[in-house]
Amino acid sequence: MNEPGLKRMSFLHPSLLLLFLCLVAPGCTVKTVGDPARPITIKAHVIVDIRGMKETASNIEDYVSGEKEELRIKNEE
Amino acid sequence: MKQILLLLVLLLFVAQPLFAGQYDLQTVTPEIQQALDGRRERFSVLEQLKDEGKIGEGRDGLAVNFAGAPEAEAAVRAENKDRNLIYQAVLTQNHLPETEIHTIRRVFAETQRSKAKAGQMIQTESGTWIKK
Repeated sequence: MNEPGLKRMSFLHPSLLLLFLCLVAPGCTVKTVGDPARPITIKAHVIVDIRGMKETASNIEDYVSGEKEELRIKNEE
Repeated sequence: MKQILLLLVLLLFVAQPLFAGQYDLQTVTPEIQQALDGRRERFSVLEQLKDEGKIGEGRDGLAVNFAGAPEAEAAVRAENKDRNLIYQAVLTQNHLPETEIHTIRRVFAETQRSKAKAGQMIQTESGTWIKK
């Protein structure tokens, strides 16, 4: 197999593709343009991630009880 | 194969901070800090009242006064005011709908139950009061 072929293969390596998707996917946005005279209302049911909320609850209650000296704050990206 | 595994492990390390405390507070306003400070100062008093069986942890994330004693009532009222403020802050700062306040209360109640010491009164999700 020749060198360029090998290089092309390494670019399409599954692990690299996975990394690329993980980096790109969160940044993807969809923009739609509709009729301003006919607004579209979408009622979406938000499901709270219980595990995430438990982390937050533990964080706050550990701080309140004195188990932790500092409260963890979410950094805004 | 080894490289893929290494990459996945690396990705997990990067992703971990994204999932830890996803509903943490973003901004601690003076009001929120006052509520947190009040709870910290009151903590040992509440623990004493819990050990005496005068108050317990309710399933809605609030403290409950069993005895009706004035000293317990004042502490419980102040504690619940601070807790409600913090729950509301978690809700609004994470842009969650108002209906999810019940989920927040339920999860905080579960955390309180897990942190309760043996002998303290806790209310289960079904509403039953038990001594831990």
